[in-house]
Amino acid sequence: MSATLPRPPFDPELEAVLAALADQIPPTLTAEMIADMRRSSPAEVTDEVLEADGLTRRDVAVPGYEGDEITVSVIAREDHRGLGPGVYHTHGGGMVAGNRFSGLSQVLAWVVEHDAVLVTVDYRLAPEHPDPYPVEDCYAGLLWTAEHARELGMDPDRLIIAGQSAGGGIAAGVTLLARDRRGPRLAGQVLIYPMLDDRDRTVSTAQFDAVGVWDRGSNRMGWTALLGERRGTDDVSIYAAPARATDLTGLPPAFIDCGSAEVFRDEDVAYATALWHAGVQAELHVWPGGFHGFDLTAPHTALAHAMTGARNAWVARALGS
Amino acid sequence: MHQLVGRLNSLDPQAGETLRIVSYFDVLITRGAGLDGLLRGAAVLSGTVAGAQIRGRVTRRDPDGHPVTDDLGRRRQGSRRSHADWAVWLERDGEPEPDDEMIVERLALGVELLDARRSPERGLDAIVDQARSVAERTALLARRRIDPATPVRVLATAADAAEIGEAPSAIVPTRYGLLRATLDLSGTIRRPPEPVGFGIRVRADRAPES
Repeated sequence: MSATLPRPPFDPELEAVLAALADQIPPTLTAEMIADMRRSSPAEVTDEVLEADGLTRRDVAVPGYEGDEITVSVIAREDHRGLGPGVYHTHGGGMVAGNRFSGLSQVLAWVVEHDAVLVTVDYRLAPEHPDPYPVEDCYAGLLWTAEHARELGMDPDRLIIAGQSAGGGIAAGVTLLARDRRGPRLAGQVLIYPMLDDRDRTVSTAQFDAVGVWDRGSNRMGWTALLGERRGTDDVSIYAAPARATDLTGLPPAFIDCGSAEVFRDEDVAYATALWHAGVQAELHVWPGGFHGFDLTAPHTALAHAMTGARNAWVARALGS
Repeated sequence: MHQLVGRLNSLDPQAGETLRIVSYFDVLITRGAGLDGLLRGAAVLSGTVAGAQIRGRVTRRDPDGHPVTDDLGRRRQGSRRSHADWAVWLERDGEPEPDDEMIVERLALGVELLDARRSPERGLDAIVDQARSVAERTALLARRRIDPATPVRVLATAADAAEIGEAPSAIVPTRYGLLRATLDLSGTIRRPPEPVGFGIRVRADRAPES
């Protein structure tokens, strides 16, 4: 039984949060819960937050996959002038939920600190829009961003991509697409506990089954929504599941972080290792006892402070400020 | 920024709230979290600054978990618990929130336990701890001038119950949650008013079996 596999314990503060929110964070999310997941997106950033940070937002309709219209928000400091670094953001939500404001608190600090211009994209969600809609919508949004960089106040040579969870997997997939289609040249990829592997076969996947946050069952649900019958078969592209890529040469520098107590631990560590093997610069942090997305669920904890600090420090170096 | 507070505040039933606060601190205490973790917990659960003073040293944390170093005197102290060696409190400008008392009580319990664990005369929790070797427990008994062959029994009461007379006691994590374990050396302890569990009488160096 997988439930009896030894596994790293949760950090004490994070375990306290899990205990307090036990009735609100079921370890396993099923397809029946997708509607609920879409209704309650607790990590959403509101206009109030933007205003308090001195930021402006405008929404733009841009061409998505096959030319269909999708929405992006362009967020910058009110006092932004000239060209600053650019951040292109792909949100999380297991491929099935979330919107362009989910988890945005993680990247807004970069807009404030480095005067970056942020473009965050509403890609179409599975299962209504299965693969390749999510990754192709996001790639189309990146193309639009790069083409309009100067007019957005963005230095095209200092554009990075960032996404968390499913959005981290999409960010890695978009980065592979940009390389293979000779698209925009990205200056970096920030893969925040990215969802990279549909094959359901790592030790960490087996260790976090019906325990923690975004467990094995939830992960199967997300991948099934995206890939349907193709999940785990040979018929899955490297852009949908970047863990399947065997050639990672020529990719931009990567930042990857995750917790030691989450499903994505092993695939995230493996991706960082594969990047190093391919001669790509990568920084990897595995935070001890961290469950999936703990910096968003429990931002007050010591471990969340450490995670956020390390990530922001990498971004500061990447954006050259 | 305060997702946790947001989640906690979005819940209306008061009973659920209490359970949440108790669960949060029970895990921190059972897992041996330190003072900063206890204060961050109190701050995030209350949505305001939580502070502690232990033997003159003041530590304060805000609901984001960050240290607070502004002028202490200008802040109004709300709910508070104090002891000879320490004090804990929540800082509010306005009226206390309904959960403040419960939060500060659990914070106080955590600090009391932490202080007992870290103080040089520590020992009772270790004396009844099965995970400690007989040699270690015997050494701790010797420090308290208790012969290892002395017949003793352990009394279990609720963690927030008053101490039973002068008898040595400590709050310990058990499979039933946090309980106060009191070592009855004389066999003459009078039954306290609250519910109590009596252990069997054993040699002092076998106290965990009681």
